[in-house]
Amino acid sequence: MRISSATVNSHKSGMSLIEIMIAFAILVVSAFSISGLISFGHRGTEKDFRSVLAIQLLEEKLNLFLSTSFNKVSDEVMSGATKMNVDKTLFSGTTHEIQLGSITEGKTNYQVSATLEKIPVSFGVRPLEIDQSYEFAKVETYRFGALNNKLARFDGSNNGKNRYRVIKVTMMVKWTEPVVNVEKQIQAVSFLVDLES
Amino acid sequence: MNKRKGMAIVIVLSLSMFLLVLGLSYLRSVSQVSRSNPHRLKQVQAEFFARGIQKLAVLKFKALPADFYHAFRYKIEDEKTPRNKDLPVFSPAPMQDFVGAAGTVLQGEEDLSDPIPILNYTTEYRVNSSKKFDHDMIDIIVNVAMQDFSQSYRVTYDASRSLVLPTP
Repeated sequence: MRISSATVNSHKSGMSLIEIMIAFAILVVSAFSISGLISFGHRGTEKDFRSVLAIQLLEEKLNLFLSTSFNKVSDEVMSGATKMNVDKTLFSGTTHEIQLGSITEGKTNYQVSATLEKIPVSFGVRPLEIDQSYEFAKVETYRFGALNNKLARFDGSNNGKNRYRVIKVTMMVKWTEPVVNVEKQIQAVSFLVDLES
Repeated sequence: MNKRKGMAIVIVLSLSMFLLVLGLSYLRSVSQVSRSNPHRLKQVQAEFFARGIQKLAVLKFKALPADFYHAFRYKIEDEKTPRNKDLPVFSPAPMQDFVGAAGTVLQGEEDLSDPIPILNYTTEYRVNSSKKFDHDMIDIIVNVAMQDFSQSYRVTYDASRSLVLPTP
């Protein structure tokens, strides 16, 4: 029996069907794994983007609050209250407008709110006891008394004469992470101080 | 001809390896951004808090300017070497009392930063005086410490003094 050389070559050369199928299976498995990895990364990027937007909102709203006059916030927003929560637009229609409450940035809805609290503050100092020997230019003549914490009090005492001059502003931004449905929030604190009077 | 057997698998495996490296490097860059976001939030929180404390320091200065200048002048004289023998000794120093003891409003008062996790903060005053123009520049420095993060924030105020003459 004679076998032609062409028949022998067709068995030996090129790739077998099994080899191609194994290679294809490996390619499919690896392609799915990589696409899963990229999709995971993309979800992470979107999550970070939502956090960045939240931080930007926090900065913007707190900056607006701190550039507002103390008396305007104290009289028009708090009007006698010592602590309150604000989650709606303030000073609407004016140049000082601060939009709070529900704000949509991109596909995400953020809830922005602020807690305002008048805080009592008193500063201590060793007052100078001035006698006949005192001269401003001669430090040797200075006589300091004992520490006194009542010379500068801004705590609403003395029938309101020592009025509050500091408002603690706590700004909060909340949003819900899609898919996992987890609520996230970030906060920052600063102080609105009456330096006008 | 036998050498060509199995080449498809080798090529596919190399391609898969390349894609894996590409995917992992992408994931690594994403995770680095994820790590930097909480750090950015800490920076924002520390900066806003420091700005608030700086305003409180200005309020104290505005409320008690004479006490500030006397305490500061005493501090400068007190720190000179050799020390002026005629200078009386006050302990604690008046300037130390002016900035406040630990736990007071300018020096790490507890609960003042709630709900922000600030571990500690301190406040300093410095004066850059220009006698020729009777003009002061007051530096207020607030140092804020949070977990894995600490930063100093400085603000300079122009504190020119003027004398109001009494009307006859």
